[in-house]
Amino acid sequence: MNRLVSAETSVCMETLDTTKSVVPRNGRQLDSTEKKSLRLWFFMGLIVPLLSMSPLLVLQGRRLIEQQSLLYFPFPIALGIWLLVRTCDYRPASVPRARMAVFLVWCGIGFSVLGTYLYSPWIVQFAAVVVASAWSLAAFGGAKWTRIVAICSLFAIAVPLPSGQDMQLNFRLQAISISACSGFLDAIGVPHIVEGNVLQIADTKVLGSEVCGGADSIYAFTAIGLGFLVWRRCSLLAGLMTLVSIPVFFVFGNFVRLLVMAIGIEKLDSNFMTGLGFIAVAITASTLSILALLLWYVSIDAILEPSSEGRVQNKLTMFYQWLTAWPQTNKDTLPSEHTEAPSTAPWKKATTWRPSFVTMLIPSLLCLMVGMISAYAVFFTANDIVFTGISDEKAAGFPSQDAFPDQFGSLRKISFTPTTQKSTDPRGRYSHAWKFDDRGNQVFAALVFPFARWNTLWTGYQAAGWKIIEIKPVTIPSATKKWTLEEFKMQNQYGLFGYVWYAFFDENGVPVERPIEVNTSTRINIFARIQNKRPVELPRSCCVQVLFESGRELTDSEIERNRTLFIEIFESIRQQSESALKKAK
Amino acid sequence: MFFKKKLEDEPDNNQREIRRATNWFQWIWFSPVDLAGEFLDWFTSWRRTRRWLSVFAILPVFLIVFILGSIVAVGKLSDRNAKVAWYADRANKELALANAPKTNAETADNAKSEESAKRLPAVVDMLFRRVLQLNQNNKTARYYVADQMSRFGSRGSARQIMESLAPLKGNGHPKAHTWLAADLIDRGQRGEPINIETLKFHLKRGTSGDGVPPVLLLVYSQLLQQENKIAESQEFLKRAAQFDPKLLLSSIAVYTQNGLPAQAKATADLLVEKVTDKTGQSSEDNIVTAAQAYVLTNRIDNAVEVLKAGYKRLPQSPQLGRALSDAFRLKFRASSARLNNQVQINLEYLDMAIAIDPTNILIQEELSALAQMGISQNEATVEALRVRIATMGTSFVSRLLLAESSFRRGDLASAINDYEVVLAELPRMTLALNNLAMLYTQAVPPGLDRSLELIDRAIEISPLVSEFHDSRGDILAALKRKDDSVASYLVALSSSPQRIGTREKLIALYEELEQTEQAQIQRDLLTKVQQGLEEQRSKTQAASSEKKPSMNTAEPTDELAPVQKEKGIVTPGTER
Repeated sequence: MNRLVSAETSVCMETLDTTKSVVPRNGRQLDSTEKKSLRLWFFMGLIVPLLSMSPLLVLQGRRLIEQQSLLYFPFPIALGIWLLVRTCDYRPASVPRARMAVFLVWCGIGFSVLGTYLYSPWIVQFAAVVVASAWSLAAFGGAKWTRIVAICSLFAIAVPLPSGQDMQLNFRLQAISISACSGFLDAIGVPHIVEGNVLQIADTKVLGSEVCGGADSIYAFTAIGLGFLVWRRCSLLAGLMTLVSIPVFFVFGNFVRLLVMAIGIEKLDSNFMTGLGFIAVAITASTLSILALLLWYVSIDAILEPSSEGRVQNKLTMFYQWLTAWPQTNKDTLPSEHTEAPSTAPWKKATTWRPSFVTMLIPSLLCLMVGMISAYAVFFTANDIVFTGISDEKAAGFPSQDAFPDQFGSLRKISFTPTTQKSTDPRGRYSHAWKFDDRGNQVFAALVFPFARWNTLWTGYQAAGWKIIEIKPVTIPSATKKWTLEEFKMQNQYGLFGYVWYAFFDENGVPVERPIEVNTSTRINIFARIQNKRPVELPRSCCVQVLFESGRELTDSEIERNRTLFIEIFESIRQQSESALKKAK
Repeated sequence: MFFKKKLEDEPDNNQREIRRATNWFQWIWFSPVDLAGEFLDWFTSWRRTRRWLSVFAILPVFLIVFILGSIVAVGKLSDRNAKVAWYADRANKELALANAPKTNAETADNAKSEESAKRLPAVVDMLFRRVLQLNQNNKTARYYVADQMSRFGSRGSARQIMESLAPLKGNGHPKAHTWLAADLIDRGQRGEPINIETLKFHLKRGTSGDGVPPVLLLVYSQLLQQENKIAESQEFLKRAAQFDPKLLLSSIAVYTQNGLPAQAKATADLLVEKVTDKTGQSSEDNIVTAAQAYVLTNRIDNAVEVLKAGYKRLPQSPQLGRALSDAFRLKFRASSARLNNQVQINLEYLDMAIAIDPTNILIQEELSALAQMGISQNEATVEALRVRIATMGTSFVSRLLLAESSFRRGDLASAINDYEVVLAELPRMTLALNNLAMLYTQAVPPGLDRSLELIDRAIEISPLVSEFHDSRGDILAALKRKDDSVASYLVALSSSPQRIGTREKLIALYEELEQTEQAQIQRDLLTKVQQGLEEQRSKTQAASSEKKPSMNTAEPTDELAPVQKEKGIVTPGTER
């Protein structure tokens, strides 16, 4: 197969010089009607929809850049564009394919309208991928649809998974790497301990999220693999097998990193967790895993290569040939002059598609309207979906050191620790934490703000090695408005029990009734934003959480007592936050 | 359909294959023989057309993954009990290393030993936590993990875990019993109500093993002593003394209080032998300990002798200076004798005490006692003091008593003069600095600046004496610097919260400053302090009425504990 691909590549190279204008790669000159059609399709099928989406795409781009694990996102997009331009024939597609493309562009525009209405940059990004793919399908009529789909998958890889699934996937893969590393260290006799996604060797803790996260995340790794496969015109079977193996080699790379760090700490007395050592280990491990992936691909490709012997043509062989070659056929791999003959396939007998200006006018007008509305909403009404947060100066006005007296009920105040997260993510940027002693038991109370919505807190405790036993929402009746707190019981591996109570109050200082209400309230449609005539921000909420530690399970009466204590703390913090919240508005 | 088309495109294919391939029924219901034949054909073709070098390119990766995976599997599948044993063994070794005394080389390499000292507890903690991860029922690991929790502030949670390890019924983990006993003592010291029977139970179980902290042995021996189990009490005291010979002092005190002077003397001699270096290079602590042993067995001359020798060798030692000064104070007290209804007392010893350590605030007690005896009120004795100064030249005690006498007579100028003379000789005599400062506040016109200068000097020399901060507060109040005065009173109260007079002055000052909230807080505290003192007084009275008659010992053991006294426990005999 490689030989054939090489032959084709050489043909491509030969035709490169002739494709400077609108001469397709097969050498056939486009007639003026085709040129006109393609120009019309380019403007009305791609440029107009993308322009209409651009305001929200700019917002989405800013969000993606803020996430370290998705920082790479322009590279697969650029690679996809480069591959489309360089390796696909720019000519009108057949009518059925073009119809499908038009339908998909409509779908994309529909998504875009929905995304704009909901002011959701994520949906708009998805719509942009659909539109770009659909446009390519009709514009690069000389290339097989499978090739177009493969290249456009590079655009799709830049769309983050919804509902934080990407974070969870990373978390699970980190856990596998750490578990494997733990097994290795056990075998070679290096004492260590694993707590959640934290590996501790001697007195040094290696955080899985720091070592295995960042720019070299599973997504970046997948993007590299996918780009390579598309560039190599890999068959679907070999491609799938290579893609499936990506998490394995990703785990392998992380395992190597963790292992080098662990052995460095224990045996070499060297810390590879910071500075140049960290970078060197990261680069080496990533290179190793990419090399392993490459070798895997080479091997899989050689194993699943279609047989080049023409004499054996039994059914099994033919099935194998088809399976291992798809989406390419022998025809694809032959020099271009062999593909000149018109296809005899019934669906290819129709004339090539001519996009009508009239048919494209309606979606284009719709796009323009949507684009103008979204541009107005994003750029002129200062309505930004991005959470603006609270400045350091205003955050200092929230309850702090003196929020509680030295003795608060049965609690004796021990310390106060304000923390500002380094992350640019504004949710929960500030933490004002008080440590109390409750008759020998430690009690931690914290005001964490600002959040954009109700957030569940137990995932953080899980990462720290706690096992959640029970989660229970409790509705608190109030004179004015009932509100909700959530309590969960957990236990760590050492028999220590933890009881957490938490609740949110909004930026007006009103306790939040239920999580779902906060979630829905964050979706403010674009017309509401424009009507507001003022910067619309996601409603900010502040979280109050209290953790009670205990060496044994608490009785019902103790839980009730602690719940009451939490409500007192919550109310105290909430009331003291009111003036700061007013100033922060 | 696909295959049919495919085959039609290829002219070289034979018709049979085309027919068979187009027959989907046959394709599905394959004959096994045909299938085997086709498979063989396919496999042969596949094998012939492979690029084996590329196929085997994955081998190095497989090899590495296989080796690493095998090692991981060995680690994961290895026997859990063996792992527990290995980690427990390792933890115990690290623990032994953490508790081992430092070698000279380690002590010399301070930086390294400090780093090691920080690292070891974390490593031990990690190892025991791993043991607990592997086996939830390992009590030793659970004990150490809970102990570590308490170090990080989760004392209550640690206590609950310890209580599960050492229940009140039956035998629990000895170390957990020890921990709970120590915890109860700690809580008792902090004023929390504790159950003495529970404490005794945990002490009994906890002290049966090795490695018990000496303080627990000491407490248990005291509890046994209260139950009149003197022999058992002494046994525990001796065990405690193996860790720290100084604890034999308690043993000596027990013998003395229970009318066993011979045993007390023998124990004191044993202690002196243990702490005395044959080459005469005993440390300051050991010299003081030996002196205390002598004092407890009423051999003050021996104590003075030991301390003198030590002070001669280490004249810069403040600890020895204070101890020797205190020893002379005791000797001064012991020199008191009644003859023909007259008290005879050797002032030379008190002069010596002052000369050796002019910062010793306890001298005030002796001077107050002398004043109460009327020595500074009687004209004859005052004259005798003047004669003494004339004949001896320098007598600090005489000067101080004359100053006291002048003050009583209202002759402030003479009193000031006497104190100035004393300070010319002993510029570091803090008592004189304080008294002179207060005299200047009463002079006409008041020398408040000089007064402030003197008290600041006294505080600079002895910053922990609350009396001086109180005086400073008075002076600042006189200077109308009320905020500074409040601050000084608060410093005085921080080290001696029981100072009623100081607190009353503070309340008055707050009221003058119209800080009613603060005044009320202080008033509430004053009530609490007064109640506490009242309770303490009634307890002391009850205890003294129950106390058995004891032999005439010199003084309680804390007479020669200058360090503790310096840390704010010092309360001079008179409080303004």
